[in-house]
Amino acid sequence: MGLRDLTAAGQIAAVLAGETSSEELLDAHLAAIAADDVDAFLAVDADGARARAREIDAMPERPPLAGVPIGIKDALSVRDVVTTAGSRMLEGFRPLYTATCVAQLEAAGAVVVGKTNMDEFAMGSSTENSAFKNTLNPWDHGRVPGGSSGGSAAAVAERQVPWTLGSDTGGSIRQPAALCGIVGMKPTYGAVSRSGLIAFASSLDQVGPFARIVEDAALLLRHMVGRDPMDSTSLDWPGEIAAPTATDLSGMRVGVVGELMGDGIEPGVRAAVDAALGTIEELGGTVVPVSLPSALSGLATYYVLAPAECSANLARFDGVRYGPVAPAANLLDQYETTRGDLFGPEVKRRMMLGTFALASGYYDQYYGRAQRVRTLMVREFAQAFEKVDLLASPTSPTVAFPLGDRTADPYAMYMADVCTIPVSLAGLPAISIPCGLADGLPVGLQLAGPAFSENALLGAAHALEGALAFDTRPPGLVT
Amino acid sequence: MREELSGILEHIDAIRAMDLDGVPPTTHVITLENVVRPDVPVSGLTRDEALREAAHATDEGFGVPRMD
Repeated sequence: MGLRDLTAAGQIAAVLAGETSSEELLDAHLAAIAADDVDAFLAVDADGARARAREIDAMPERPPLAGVPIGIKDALSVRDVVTTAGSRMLEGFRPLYTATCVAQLEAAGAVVVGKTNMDEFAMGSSTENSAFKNTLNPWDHGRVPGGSSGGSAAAVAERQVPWTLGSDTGGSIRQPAALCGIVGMKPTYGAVSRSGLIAFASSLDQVGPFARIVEDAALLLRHMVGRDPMDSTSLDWPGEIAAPTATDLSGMRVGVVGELMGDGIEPGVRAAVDAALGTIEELGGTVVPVSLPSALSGLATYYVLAPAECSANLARFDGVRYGPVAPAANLLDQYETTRGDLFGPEVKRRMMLGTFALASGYYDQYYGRAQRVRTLMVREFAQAFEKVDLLASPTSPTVAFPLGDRTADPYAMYMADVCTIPVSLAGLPAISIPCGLADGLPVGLQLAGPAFSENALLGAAHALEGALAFDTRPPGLVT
Repeated sequence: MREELSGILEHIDAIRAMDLDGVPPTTHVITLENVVRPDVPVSGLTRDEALREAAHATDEGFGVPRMD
C-alpha cells in the first residue's frame, strides 16, 4: 500500500510514528497531481507547500494534522495563491488574506497544495461551468464529477490528496461526493466561518470537508468550526467535533423521506439506497417513513432565493479593484464590457433571474413567496425531527451523467440538486457517504440531522460506512 | 437566453400556486441579534495592499476611465 492509499488519519499516524514525513507525503501527492488525468486542480502551489511541509517536519512537536496535504476549492481565498472561483472575472487574482477556515487548518498543520476546479462562482452541478476546463469523473472519464465542488471531489477520489474543502449552497459538496464515491459534509449553517469564501448566496453558503472516510471528514471539521469575528453569521460551536467511533445504530430512528424516493430517482440509485436502509436496520436502527410535503418545492424556491442573492453578491465584480478589466473609453462602458465579456452564461442567467425576482412588482410573487416556502420547509424538518433522529435519502437522483448531457438544458442540470436543496434551505447539517454502485458508478446516501447534530451524523455515518464496506478506489486507479 | 429564462420561470411558477396564507417569511435560518464587536480600532489593509490587485491604479487610488 502506497502513501496515497493511507487515509488522512493514517497519514498522520505514519508521520507521528516516524514512518514518513510531511515532505515525503507532499512529494507522493504532487507526483499524482502532476500525472492528473481528471483535471481536478486549477493551481498548484508546490513551492509554498514544500516550504510549509519542511517547517512542520522541523517542529519538535508536530501539530495535530501533522503536515498532511489538502486541496482547497478555488472559491476560498488563500493569500498570494491565485484564486479565481472558476471565473475569468478573477483570472490571475491573488488574495490579500487567507480564508479563516483555511487558516485554521493551516494552523492545525494542514499543508495547502493547491486550488481545485469548480463551476464558475459555484453555480452548477457538473463543474462544466468552470471557465477554464472540465474535470472528469475518476470512475468514468466520460462523465461529470458533479459540482460545483467537482475538482475537490475528484481530487480525493483520485487520491491526489486525502482530503479537500468545498462549499455547499444547494448541494455543491454532497452531490459531487456522491458522484465520485467519497464522503462530503455540509455543516450546520453558521458552523464554519465564511470569511474568505467568495460569496454566492449568503443565506445558504457553507464550507465543509471532503474525504474518503467519515473519520477524516470529522477530523477536518473539528479544526474548522467556531465563531469568527470576521463573519458575523458564524456561531460558537457547542462542544467539540468528536472522532466518530459508533459501530452500530441501536436506538436510532432514521426517517426515510418519501418525497425524495419517488419517480424522479433512478432505479439503480433507489436500489442502492434501499439496500443501505436495510443495513441501517441490521445495525439496530429503526427505519420509518417520513413526509416533507414541501420538499419537491425546494428546487423552485432555491432558484428564486439563490439567484436573487447572487445578483447582489456578484455586483462587486466590476474590473476596478481586482481581476482583469475590459478597457473602454468611459466608466459605464467599462463596467458593461467587463461584466459582459468575463462572466459565463450560467452566471449571467442566474443574475438576470435574480434581478427579475427582486424587481418591484415581482418581489412579492417570487422572492417574498420563496421566503415563505422556506418557512414551511424549516417547520416540516422540525416536525420530522420530533419523530426521528436522522433523515435519509439519496444524495443525487442519478449517478454521474455524461459530460455535455445537460449543458443545453439549465433546469435539467438544476434537478441534480433536488435531494440536497431542502436541507440547505433549512440550514441543517447533512453528510453524503457512498453506499453502493449502480451500473458501476457510485451512489451516495444523504443523512441529515437537526442543527448542531454533526456528532450524531458523523457517528451514524461512520457506523454505516463500516457495515457497507464500500471500496472507494475507482477502477484502474494506480497508486 | 430569453427562452431559457422563460423555461426556468415556468418551473419556478410552482411556488406561486402554493397556499402560503399566514406563513411568515424566513430571511435567515439562525436568529442572531446585534452582532457587534468591541469598538476597538484594528489595522486593515495598507493602501498599497488594497491597490495591488487593481488592473489600473495610481499612487493614490483605483484608476478608471472618465465618467461621461
